[in-house]
Amino acid sequence: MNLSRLRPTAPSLFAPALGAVLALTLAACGGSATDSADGSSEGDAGGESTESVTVEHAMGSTEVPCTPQTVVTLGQGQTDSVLAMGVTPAGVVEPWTDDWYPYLPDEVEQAEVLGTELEPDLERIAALQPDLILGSKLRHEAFYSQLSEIAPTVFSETIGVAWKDNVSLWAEALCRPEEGERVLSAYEERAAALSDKLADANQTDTEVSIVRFMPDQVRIYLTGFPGSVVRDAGLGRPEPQQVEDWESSEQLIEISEERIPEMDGDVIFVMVSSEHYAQQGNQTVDEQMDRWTSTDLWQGLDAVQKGNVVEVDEAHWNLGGGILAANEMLGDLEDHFLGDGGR
Amino acid sequence: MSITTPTLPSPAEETARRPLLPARRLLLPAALALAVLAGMVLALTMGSSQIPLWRALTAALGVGEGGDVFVVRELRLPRILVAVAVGGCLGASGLLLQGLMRNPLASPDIVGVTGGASLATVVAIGAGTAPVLLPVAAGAGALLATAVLHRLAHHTGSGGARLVLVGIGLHAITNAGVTLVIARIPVDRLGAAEVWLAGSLHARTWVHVTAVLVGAAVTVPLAFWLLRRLGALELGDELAVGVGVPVTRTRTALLVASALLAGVAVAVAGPIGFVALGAPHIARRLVGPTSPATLATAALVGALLVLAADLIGQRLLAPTALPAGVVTAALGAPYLLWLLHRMGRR
Amino acid sequence: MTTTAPPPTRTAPERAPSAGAGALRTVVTPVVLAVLLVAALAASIAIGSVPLPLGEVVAALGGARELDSHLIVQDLRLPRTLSGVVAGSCLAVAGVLLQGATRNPLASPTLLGITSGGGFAVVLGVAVLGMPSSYAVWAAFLGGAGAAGLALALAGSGRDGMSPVRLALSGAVISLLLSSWTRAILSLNETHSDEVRHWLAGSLAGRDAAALPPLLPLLLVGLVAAVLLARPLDALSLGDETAVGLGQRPGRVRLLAGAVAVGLSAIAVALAGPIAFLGLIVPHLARFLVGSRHRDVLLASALLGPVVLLTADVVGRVVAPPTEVQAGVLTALIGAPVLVRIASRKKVGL
Repeated sequence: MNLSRLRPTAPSLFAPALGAVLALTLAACGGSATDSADGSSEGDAGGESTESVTVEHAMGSTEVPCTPQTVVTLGQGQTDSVLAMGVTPAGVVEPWTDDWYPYLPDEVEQAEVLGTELEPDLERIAALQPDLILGSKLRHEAFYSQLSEIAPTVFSETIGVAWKDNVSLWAEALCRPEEGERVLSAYEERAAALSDKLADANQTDTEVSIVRFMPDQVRIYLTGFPGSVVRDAGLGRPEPQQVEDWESSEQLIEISEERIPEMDGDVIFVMVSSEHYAQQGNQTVDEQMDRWTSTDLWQGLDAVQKGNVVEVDEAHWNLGGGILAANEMLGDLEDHFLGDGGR
Repeated sequence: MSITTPTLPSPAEETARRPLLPARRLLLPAALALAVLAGMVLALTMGSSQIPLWRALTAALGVGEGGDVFVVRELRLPRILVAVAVGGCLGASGLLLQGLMRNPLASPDIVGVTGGASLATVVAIGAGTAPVLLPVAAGAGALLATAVLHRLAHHTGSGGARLVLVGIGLHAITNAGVTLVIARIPVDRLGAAEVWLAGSLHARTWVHVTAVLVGAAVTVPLAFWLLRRLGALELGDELAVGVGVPVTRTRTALLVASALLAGVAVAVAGPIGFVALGAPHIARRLVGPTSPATLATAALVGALLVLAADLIGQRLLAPTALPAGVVTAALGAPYLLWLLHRMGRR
Repeated sequence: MTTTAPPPTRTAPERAPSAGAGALRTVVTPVVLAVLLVAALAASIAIGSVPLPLGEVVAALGGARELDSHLIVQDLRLPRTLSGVVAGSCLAVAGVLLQGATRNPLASPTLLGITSGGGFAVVLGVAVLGMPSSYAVWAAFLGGAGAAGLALALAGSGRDGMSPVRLALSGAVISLLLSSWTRAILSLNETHSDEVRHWLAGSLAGRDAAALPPLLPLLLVGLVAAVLLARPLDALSLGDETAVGLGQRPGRVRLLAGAVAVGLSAIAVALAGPIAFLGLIVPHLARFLVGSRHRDVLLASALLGPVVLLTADVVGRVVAPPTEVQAGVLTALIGAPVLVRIASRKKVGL
């Protein structure tokens, strides 16, 4: 196998890279990088003169007194995007991996862990006496009423593919709408810049395949979070991975080995877990990957023949699902298509 | 097979072996009821933060600091009440079913009743049903499975044995159905399905409490009412007919009652396994033959088991919570082995 | 409660067919079954989640390796099909041995908890203890034997001995327990909750061709032992006294048959995970076709097992695209009604 490793392995190498990405993000929009750089919730960066803001969201409309200082995020994407807007949540839910995603700023360590995204500990949430709770109808609908008794609670409809709308929603609820616009437009500009550079390099018709190996299944991602960022970067998808209707399409398909040819593209991005990076740990994933990638079907893929298989960290490609993760993904794409990893 | 293995007594056999003083029959359920109450009070004080006993009690009555009142009345109390009611229903359901099937290993989670609820719920989750309506789906699934079970095993007349086999088959079918549905469910709803299938009491609200209490208020008296006939049935079909109990009708009524009890429980808490299997055993050991005292004891033991399982699940790996169903499954194994061992020494 | 001893079942010779008809049946049926097996093999190679032109399939079988379709046939469908043949035969033969040894028509790898015990042990070994998955067959053997032992002990603990119902119920309890534990281990150990499926319902998908060869010696030993056990089991079906009169030692025969059955089931579990009910339904079908002499039943089952399993697998590949449905789910859907059917037969001796 000749998979090139795009990202360094050790977290210690990650931190500077991350800082750079953050700085880039913030610098891109000029100006008020300072108040966000410390990432503290004490900052009054979005300090509004209004007393409160009424947010329309998936469960109705909720009045949030401004500016919420103690924020609880009940999903990976919420945690990510709130951090991006310079607010450190007081409480967060566990990441899907054993350790925090390497791409997240260190501030996330300061937050209290409140259980899992599917079953957060309501008592701990109440004990924090938050000013604002951010969740999603998809995950947390069953206990919305209890949450909204604890604090003003704002839910997105879903997670994943709608992440940009959700960033705006969180910004509104945090009384920091301009902060939301800032991070979003920074992202859009960066994506557009990448798209332009790809056009200059005649790579706009590059078809990107996104796959993920799991212990008992293998998936091709069509839309979802990774699909949307790749699309924003102006990259195409191979024919079997194109969808007719972006909104209603299946996010991903689970495939059998017979369908390995559908994984082909000009580049195949293989999402692997952070743990895999950290310790080559998850044995069953490794076995699954070894088995699939040692088949002649895989070896015969164009991308494999040309050495265009890139392992990327699923932490920011798939699990994080917020705007920091999206920027980190753009970074991977820039590195591959414009940097050393590219041609 | 000629293994000379120990005797696992059938309900009726245990009856014969353990004559019991009436006083104990009354005292034990009373003591257990006190234990359940004590457990509930203890549970009021326990959580991610300890609330001292007195404060917890006053908070339950709505008096005290706002934070305490909210945690105790909106988070802990509904969960505790649901746990107790669910456990009670499961224990009673198991006792009726074991008596009806004349088999100490029968329970609703083995004969397909719980499986039917699971299948219906997973289908509902896949279709994007609002969480509020999931108990309805689960209850309907349990009843539908019971109807199928009864229909297929209609020509019984062999002491409920056929019912057991048909039930095991039904369980396998519903299980396969769940796997089939899970394979087709949109990926972002998988989490909800897995959480439900684990059997969890996370974030139960007063809506759940109302639902389960209404259910229990209907089904538990029904169970007590049918109990006398169950006692007759356990003596054998001929004797039952002899004392004027219509065997077939009674069996149907018992099956429905047991399924209703299990359905109520599974509707609000998902499939919490082994309680319906274990609680009746413990009850028969404690108070002996099938009697109102045994039924009450089975229900109370079930309540204690679920309450304890939920507390353990919440505290063991905090802040990560283990679903109560995982805890009861973990405890089910040693219990079963112990049971085997105990029978071996007899 | 039934107070009779375990009743004689269909395993006992029920009637003596006239020699000519019987011989015809025992000769013709295996030939027909072999033809069926060839058909199932052909279907399993020709049909899959990716439709392939028949010509390319044939070319691939002839050794061509130019097209993706050739690779699919040679590298994926052939190993998968072979795994199916082995797993199907193993489970079916194990079922015959268990039913013969216990004289219980419901004894089978699934109902004794052997398959879920094996699956549990493999998950425990791989996920918790970090065992390399090449040891899976041994873990499956230990787990299966343990589960069967528990189920038998639980079933035999009744005063009335081991009635079919008791056995089925004990096995169901043990199975439920072990699959709960499997679910618990996987949900605690893995970061993603949807990874538990393979070990809760067996599947032939993605079976590694390399897993097969090391198991072949075991398979051979198991099958030879099964053939050697045919006569003793015939004797056993006449009752223990008669068997002793015929020079058999019932206890030893049972122990051997049980061990071989667990071993064969372990091979199947290592290859395909816990496939449900195959070992229950195939022996019954086989007895229906060839009568009750163990030699004939074993041969017919060994041929019929793969037919059923491969058919389930092929159906699973195309029934719910794009996802493949595990063969174990489909065998459960086929097998459970058969269980109900067996249950409603008068002879089962409830």
